[in-house]
Amino acid sequence: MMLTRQDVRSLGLPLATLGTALVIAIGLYSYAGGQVSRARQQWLAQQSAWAQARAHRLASATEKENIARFLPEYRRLKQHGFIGEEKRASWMEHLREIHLRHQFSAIDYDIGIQQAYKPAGVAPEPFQLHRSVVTLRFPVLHEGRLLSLLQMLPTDDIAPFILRDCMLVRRAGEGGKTSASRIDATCSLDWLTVTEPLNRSTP
Amino acid sequence: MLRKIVLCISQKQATAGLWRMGKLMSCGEFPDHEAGHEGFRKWLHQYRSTPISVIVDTAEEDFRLETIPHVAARSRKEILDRRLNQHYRNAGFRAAQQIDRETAGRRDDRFLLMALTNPEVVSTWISIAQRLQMPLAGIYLAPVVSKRLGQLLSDALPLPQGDLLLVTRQHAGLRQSFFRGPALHFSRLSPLPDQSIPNFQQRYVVETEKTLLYLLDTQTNFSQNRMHLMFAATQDADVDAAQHVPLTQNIDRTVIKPSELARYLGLDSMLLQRHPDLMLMQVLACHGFSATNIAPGKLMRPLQLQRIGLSLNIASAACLSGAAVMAAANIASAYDMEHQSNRLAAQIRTQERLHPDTPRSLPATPWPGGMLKTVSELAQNIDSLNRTPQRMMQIVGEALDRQPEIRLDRLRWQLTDKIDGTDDASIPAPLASFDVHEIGFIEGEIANFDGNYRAALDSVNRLAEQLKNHRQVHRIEILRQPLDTSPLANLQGSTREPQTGQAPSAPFKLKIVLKAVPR
Repeated sequence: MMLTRQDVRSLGLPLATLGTALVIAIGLYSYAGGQVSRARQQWLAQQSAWAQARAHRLASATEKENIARFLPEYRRLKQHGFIGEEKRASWMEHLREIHLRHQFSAIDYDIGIQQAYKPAGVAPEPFQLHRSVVTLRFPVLHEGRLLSLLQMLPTDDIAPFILRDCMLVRRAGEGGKTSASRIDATCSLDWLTVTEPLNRSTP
Repeated sequence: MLRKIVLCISQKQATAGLWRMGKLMSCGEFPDHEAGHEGFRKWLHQYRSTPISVIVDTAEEDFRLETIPHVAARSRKEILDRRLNQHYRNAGFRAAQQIDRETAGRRDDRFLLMALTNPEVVSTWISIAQRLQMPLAGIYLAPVVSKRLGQLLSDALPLPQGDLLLVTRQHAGLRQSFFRGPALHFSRLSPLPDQSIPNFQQRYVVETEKTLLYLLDTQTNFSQNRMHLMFAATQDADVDAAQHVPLTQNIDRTVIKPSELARYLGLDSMLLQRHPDLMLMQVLACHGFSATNIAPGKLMRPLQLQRIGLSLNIASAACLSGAAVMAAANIASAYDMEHQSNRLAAQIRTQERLHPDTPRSLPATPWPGGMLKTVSELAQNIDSLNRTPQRMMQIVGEALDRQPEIRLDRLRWQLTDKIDGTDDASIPAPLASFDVHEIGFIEGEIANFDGNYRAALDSVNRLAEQLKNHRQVHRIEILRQPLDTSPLANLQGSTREPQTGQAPSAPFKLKIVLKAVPR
């Protein structure tokens, strides 16, 4: 059905009503949409604040727990020389004590230059890990003495180390039973220490 | 539509009725002269905007049966328009109604063409309605409405199958319509004198007899199709007259009294007797059916516009209602979210009050807890790598205990991250990772060797086999045999008796890789 201008004029009131209804509907919808948008933003902000507060509280609890758990260990490691400067004198003193107390004929030692050390998967940042190679040479009557010395090496006064290499060589031409020292033992170990960063920060 | 007006127009007058919710609310008769027209205008003015349906009860009508090929709707319309123009060129009020299809041959469609041959009958009344801008719902010829009346009465009685001649009397006169099955075949309007005139009954009977004779003359076969002669009487005089109509074979008579007719139609009996036109008007108003509308399109336009207007108003209401519902839902949602936000804010405040999180609440520490943990775990990692050659020495010692002919000269143990490490370096390279292996190199020879290399080779192989079978050994490699039997190497020696200080030797070298120890 084609509408003439007169038809449209006769439909003026319903058309005007529809137009008004549309305007009112759009207004209502926009107003309500605005209210929802504002409320949603406020709700999201509060959610974010709540999540932050919760994360902060959890982080704080974790921090407290870490401090309570690891601070004594940290202090012990520092006292024993793992953290801080190498205590080379303590090493020398400890070897001398082993030599005297356990009647080793002689223990030759060679402590190498300290170098930065970054093994894969070990990142104690911001602390710096260092390595010094310690080589010990001493004659033994039998292999068991080597193991005894190795058992005596770790003490609370020296930092942890990793025994890397041990070699036992029977002295040439001394296969007889008269010699007092028949075997030369040589051991190398990695002496590891950690230095603290210069910029100290507190939590 | 809740209200509707039905107007029955005859040659001399018009009867108008207003129905609301299917109930007759008002009724009036208006003679066809100036005063009657004015009365009609005033009556109509009370119910402006109410759609009007018009029944035209006049003799100036025409019906024709036509058959046309069964074609698509568009082509069918063109054919019907052509036929209507052919028969009713000057008639403005005309239409075609499909009756059925032929059962044989091409199975053509059968149509009933109808027209009001004298539009003057309705023009005055229609123009009054148009001036009042009353929408016209349709114009219908009385026989078409009679057809629905016949169906209603046949169903109500009920009548057995057969042809039907329906005889009714309205203001226009005696209307006799003949139906075969559902199709209207013939309709005739005869003017009758008022029932108070003495020869009324005689005229009634004569007119009915004429119709019956006509039907017999046109060879209408009643022998196979029994015919019912039904008198729908609106006056008691009609009942008496109907009883006097003589019947022939195969024709039976049914006379419906005014009170019964009123009951069947749902009308007041007195009102029906006073206004007999109400019979057809009530059928059109309350017993809806798709009657064939003969009104031209331009007259229907106000109704179409009114329907468009109504649709627009409904759309407006729906639009407003929808927007209101959505807005209410959104506002409720916003209120809910605001409530949740306030609750969260209160929870945050409570948490802050219960767990004040100031630096003073933490213990004094040189470094953050995470850094302390990192350093402590590093120290633990280093401690976990605390290995000695003890395991290697035990494994080698056990094997040598079973083979006293072998003398060990050198043993080297290494803790390395390279499983293919060699015996070359004097100082071990730094560990690239803490995933380590214990490997060892042993060198020795056959004690008191007498030059029997086969025995020496067997001894070394047995030693290697022993070590290989140890549960803690991962791999064994023989790096040097007492005798290099490879064709790629030079082989020198002597079978002479050994001189003093020049005893032959049978040195060998093995590499042992131990299985990893869990950290």
